[in-house]
Amino acid sequence: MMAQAGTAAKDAASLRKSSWKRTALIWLSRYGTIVGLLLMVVFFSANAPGIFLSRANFLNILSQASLTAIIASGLTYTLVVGEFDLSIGYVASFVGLIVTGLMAYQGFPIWLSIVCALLLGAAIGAFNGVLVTKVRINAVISTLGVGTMLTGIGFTYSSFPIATGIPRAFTDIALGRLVFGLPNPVIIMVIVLIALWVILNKTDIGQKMQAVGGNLEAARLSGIRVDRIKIFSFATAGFCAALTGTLLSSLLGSGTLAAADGYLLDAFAAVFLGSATLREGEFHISGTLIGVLILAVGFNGLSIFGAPTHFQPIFKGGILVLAVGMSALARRYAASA
Amino acid sequence: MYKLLLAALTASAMMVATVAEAKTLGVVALLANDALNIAVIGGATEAAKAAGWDVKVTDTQASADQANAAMNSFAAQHVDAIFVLAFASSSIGSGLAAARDAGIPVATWGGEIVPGIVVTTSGRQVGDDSVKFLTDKIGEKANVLAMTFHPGKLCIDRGIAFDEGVKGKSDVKVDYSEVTAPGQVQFGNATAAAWLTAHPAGGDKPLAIWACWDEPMQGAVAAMRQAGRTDVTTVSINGSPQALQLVKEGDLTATVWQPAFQEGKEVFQAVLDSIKAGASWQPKDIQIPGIVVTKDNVDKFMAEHPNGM
Amino acid sequence: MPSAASVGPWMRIRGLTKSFAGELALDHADLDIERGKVHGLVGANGAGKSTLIRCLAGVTVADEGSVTIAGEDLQKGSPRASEQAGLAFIHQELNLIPHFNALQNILLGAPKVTRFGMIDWRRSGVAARAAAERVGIRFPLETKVSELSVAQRWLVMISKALVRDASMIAMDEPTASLSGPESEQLFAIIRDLSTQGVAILYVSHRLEEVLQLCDRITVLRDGRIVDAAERGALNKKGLVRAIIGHDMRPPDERDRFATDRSQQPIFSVRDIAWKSAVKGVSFDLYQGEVLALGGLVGAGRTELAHLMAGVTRPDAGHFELDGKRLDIANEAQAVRAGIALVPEERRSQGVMLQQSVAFNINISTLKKLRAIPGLPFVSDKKARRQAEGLVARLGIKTPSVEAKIGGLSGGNQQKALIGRWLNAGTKLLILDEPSRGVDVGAREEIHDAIRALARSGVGILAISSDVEELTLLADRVLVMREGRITGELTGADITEARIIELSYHDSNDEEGDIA
Repeated sequence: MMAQAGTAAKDAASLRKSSWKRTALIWLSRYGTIVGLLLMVVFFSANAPGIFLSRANFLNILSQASLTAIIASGLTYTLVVGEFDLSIGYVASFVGLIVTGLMAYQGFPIWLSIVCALLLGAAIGAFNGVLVTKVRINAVISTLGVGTMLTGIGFTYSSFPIATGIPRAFTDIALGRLVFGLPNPVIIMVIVLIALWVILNKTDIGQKMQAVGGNLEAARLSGIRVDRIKIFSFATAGFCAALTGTLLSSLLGSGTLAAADGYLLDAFAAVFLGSATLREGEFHISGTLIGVLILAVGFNGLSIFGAPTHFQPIFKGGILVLAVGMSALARRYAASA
Repeated sequence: MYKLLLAALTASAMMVATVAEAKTLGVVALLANDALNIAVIGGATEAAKAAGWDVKVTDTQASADQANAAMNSFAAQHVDAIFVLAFASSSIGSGLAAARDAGIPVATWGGEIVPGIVVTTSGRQVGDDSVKFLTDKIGEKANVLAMTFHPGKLCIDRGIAFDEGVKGKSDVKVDYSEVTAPGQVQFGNATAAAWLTAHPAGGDKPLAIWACWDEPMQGAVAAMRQAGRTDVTTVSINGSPQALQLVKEGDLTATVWQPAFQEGKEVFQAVLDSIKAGASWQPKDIQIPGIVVTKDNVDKFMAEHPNGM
Repeated sequence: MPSAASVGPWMRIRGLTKSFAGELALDHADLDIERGKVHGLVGANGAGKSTLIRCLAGVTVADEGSVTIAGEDLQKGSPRASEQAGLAFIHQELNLIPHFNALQNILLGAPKVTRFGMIDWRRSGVAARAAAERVGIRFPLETKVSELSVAQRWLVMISKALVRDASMIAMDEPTASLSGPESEQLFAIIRDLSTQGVAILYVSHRLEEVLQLCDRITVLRDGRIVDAAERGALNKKGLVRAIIGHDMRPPDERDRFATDRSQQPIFSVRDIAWKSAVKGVSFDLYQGEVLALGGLVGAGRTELAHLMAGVTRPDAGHFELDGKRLDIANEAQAVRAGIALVPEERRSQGVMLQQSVAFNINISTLKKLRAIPGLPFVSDKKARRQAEGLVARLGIKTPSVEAKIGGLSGGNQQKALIGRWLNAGTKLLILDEPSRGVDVGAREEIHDAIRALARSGVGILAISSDVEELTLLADRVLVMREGRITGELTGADITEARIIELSYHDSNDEEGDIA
């Protein structure tokens, strides 16, 4: 009897210990990135209170984040269905050039130019999707190929950056503050993110996307038209890239070749940071937003501190490896603890 | 205009090809679709065509390795002169050696004089112009954000010009920021946005932003527009159409136009002179002053130089 | 050589305990393993067999307890230490590299003879060939693994263990994909190895096999060892009782074989042919009947199922649904026509492991779950209600419908996959190996669910390599061999002997020969 009771007590103790550790690790793997983001905000605020911690700077950070967030959310869609899109940066650059060209060369009104630009982006994305699903070219190859072609087509369309003949009203789109004194790109970002979140989580097509990404064969056998779902995801990525490109052109007041190419890497970094947030290694919209904010807050804070520029890539790459790595490790320990 | 020029270039190449004794200029471009590269090649081509030469262009996509390979290839084809755009002389050693062995004169644009190079231009002049304009504007006390770029020889020279221009001004505090490319526009935008926050309007010192070339400055100007700031002096270099537009609209204080077309022309003329002079030739450094384009002279400038040429 | 410590059993497992998420997966397990004996390990899914094996393999670290091998403590949580102690593990998903040949796979990770720093394949091959001979491999070792049958791959895995001088080989469900004669040949090899002094740890749900093959049988239930007996001390009934904790219900015979086959068939297969796997197959399926398809692995049954479900398109022949000719271009069209497939490979083709039970159940009926008809928004409430209803109806054991399906046992995952089609307007449900890898208790529940579905008017086509399952489940059995239907059994004719006879119908033993 005595011996049995002792064993039972020991069991309970070891059980408590291991489950406490496990809970902590799971918590870390889910909320680590959010905690990191908050810690960064607290750190920068404490060390540069008047400057970092100000309404102007927060709006500033959100403005910086908005363009990246839009393009990264589109990228999230392709990753949710288990694919990839390397063309988004080029699509943004290309569409950014075309949208100004339509106004400057073709004399289209602003609204029509923007509608055409966004549809063009969605069409390029859908074309990527067709290459991947119907022609069955690996997504890395097809999107890289299409993206590279776009830089050449952009150059053919206008070997010159387009600077003249763009109405001031177009520039005002990105510079204006129509609602609550928030910069318009921030409002647009919020609308796009909410829409994409709802589609992904609350609609048939979103559920099907998750099924396709979760298990392609199972999704097929469940009667899901897998190809259509993937093409939709690519088209969404193209649309979002086009929106980012259009907003960038509006911000710059000109159409510049290759201006948005840099968004590709930032978008990927943000999306993978997001995959280490809240859910276990899955891609999702709210995670992507967290990822974008981490990058934007880090960049802004380091710049305000006057950290040497070469510190930026160290931060960007480091935080990515750290966050994704920590989350993976924590999950693994949680599983074996 | 460029399309016309390219057509002219092709036509001239075809014409010259029919002449048996036609001489050839081999051009090694840094980035064949960069506006400034196009202008330099355009100038050199115009001068070469006038002299009855043929022109061949190789695009290196900014790879020094490709540049050396292209120079070796031109040496093997026994072209009559090689013109290298914007690579540091130190990074084209093997190409220079091949040209020397084949007895081919080498000209560079944005380089420096080393053995084997008969003529060059440097990025110093426009750099000096830009920093002189800047320091005249801000005086002895200022906070400056300087956006530099070290992979390109032109920007290295312009950066040196900037450093010397602000040297000894103890009350001018410079925050250096190395541009990352691709993504230079976006980089300029984010960096300037943060820097402007750290340096609010109404401070005790004047503020200024200097960029090695126009594209990061475009991003910086967008950041100023976003923040509604007009208190910062902004100076960049190249005189690209977007920058000229920004100057015209009053958002960019100045861009220093680099007379690249003229530089191309004069470099080729110097190559001809050096061949004529033979052993008595003294290597030449061509310095053509740029034009500082501000709101005051932008309309006149654009009328005189449509499309920045 | 034998030290004082090795006087006792070769391997002693004492008090081995492991918990996951606060639940005990293994609870103070004691087990002795001796060289030269075949040890059977049986138990329901989740009883702790895998955990025990993973602890031995060093993949999982036990919370408590010890393992001593020949008197020496085995280092915990080190796969390398386990390998060096002479332990080898062959899992169901054979860890072979498909595009390497058999020889390369056997030698993978083993010390090799090198010459000038490069692998001397000829001399390294000597040991591998010796091992291959011991297990009776007769195909050339230069054959790529992707070209080998499952049975041949097993032989490669065993050779791989022998090259490393394994003293114990643990095998997880070795006969799950093997035919009768293939299994018999494997048993002969296992007995051979055991007389050569190798200890075998044999894990299987096929109780007949275990009773026939093993010298000693250990039964696990809920992480505890509930029974351990020498050969002959247990019979099948006793074993089932030990595994599920109570006696097995006799199958409900009342409404079996009662199908009315004078009515119009719900689904007809007419002269269907595809490549060399399916050679002109025709049959009818009636409403409310459970039609089973028996035969050997490779007889063309899975291929036929894929043709019916739109995964592949037939080269010749056609299908009829409710008497009307039906052209199926892809899976989506099949599903819309009311034909669904629950595939053989549950993990890779059935479940979305990262998603919840509700998600997995509802994925094929999203249109019905819309909040407002016509708008593409899924109602969370309707979705949860449907999932909860099906979970209750099928007796799926899950903490909640929001729990990830990956955490459920194989049997419960399978029930969820069947549940996916219950509200989807399915007219014909094809189940490929519905109870593979699930325990006796879960198999019974799956069979109940299938029969209930048939009673509700759905046509069922069940494919199984488990002859016993065919006799338990089917109203009618079709047997396939080499792409053709070789026989039809109804009523009292459905016996294991008849099915086996038809599976090998006047064949000259060649195709059953694995080596």
